Amino acid sequence: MGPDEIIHQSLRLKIMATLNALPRGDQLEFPKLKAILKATDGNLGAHITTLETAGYVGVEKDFADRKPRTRVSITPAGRRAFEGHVAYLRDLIDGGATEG
Amino acid sequence: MTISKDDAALALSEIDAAGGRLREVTAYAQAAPFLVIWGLVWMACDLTDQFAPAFGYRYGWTLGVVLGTLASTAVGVSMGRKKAQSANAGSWRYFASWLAIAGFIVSLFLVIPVTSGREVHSVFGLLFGFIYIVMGIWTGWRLVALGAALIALTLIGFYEIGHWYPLFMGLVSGGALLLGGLWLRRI
Repeated sequence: MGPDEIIHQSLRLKIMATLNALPRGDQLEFPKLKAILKATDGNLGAHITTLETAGYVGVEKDFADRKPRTRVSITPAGRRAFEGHVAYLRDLIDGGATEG
Repeated sequence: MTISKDDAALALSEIDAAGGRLREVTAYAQAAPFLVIWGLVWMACDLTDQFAPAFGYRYGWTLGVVLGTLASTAVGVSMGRKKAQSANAGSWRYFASWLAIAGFIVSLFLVIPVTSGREVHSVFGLLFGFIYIVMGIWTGWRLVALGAALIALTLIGFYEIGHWYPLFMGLVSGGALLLGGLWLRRI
């Protein structure tokens, strides 16, 4: 199995790692994700859109206490892709995969 | 796409760091309401000790600790439900934890001679300060900072503040917990 080019970009990798560490089915609010990753609104939003287009994350927008709220979660396909990418990285370090 | 072994090692360390940061932020969010509750209890009881000592020393802390324990248990149950865990399993652990801490404090004063309410009060401040430090060692530096501040303020109050000791402890130590809880909530 090769590397996942969508996931490997540094901020997208951190987004996926953070969402993957959540309990199954949990969502993370956009401001909290931004604080965890120390990213800017625009940069984080752009990378989340890329991951959403790939089907790796789900984005849910609604209102809470009359304020707009955006929550992000990892999809089953995203979890599989992330775990596959991590396995590739580990394999590469252990010498099982070729640098590609 | 080219990924070297160094790139792979860096990526794996970034993954570990992101997971650790999530755990830290989650721990802060879980600790925050308890700090706010106990900061309010501390402040209310100390202000009562200062300005209505007859009531405060006799009933104030008993009432405060009972209300604080009930509020903490309610928050714990609510958190357990949000996590879709068994509410019953969560609630008895939160309640049992507070009972264990209360049991430890009562046992401590049964074997250590106490000559003033000031000593009892300071032991509470030091104990909770060290509990926060231990929690912080496992979760994040902000809890360590809060615990250290609580210990320092308690010692300053014990040695340096005279008649206004309850007021000092209520505003400064209770306030430190309250503001600390609000600080953790912002992250």
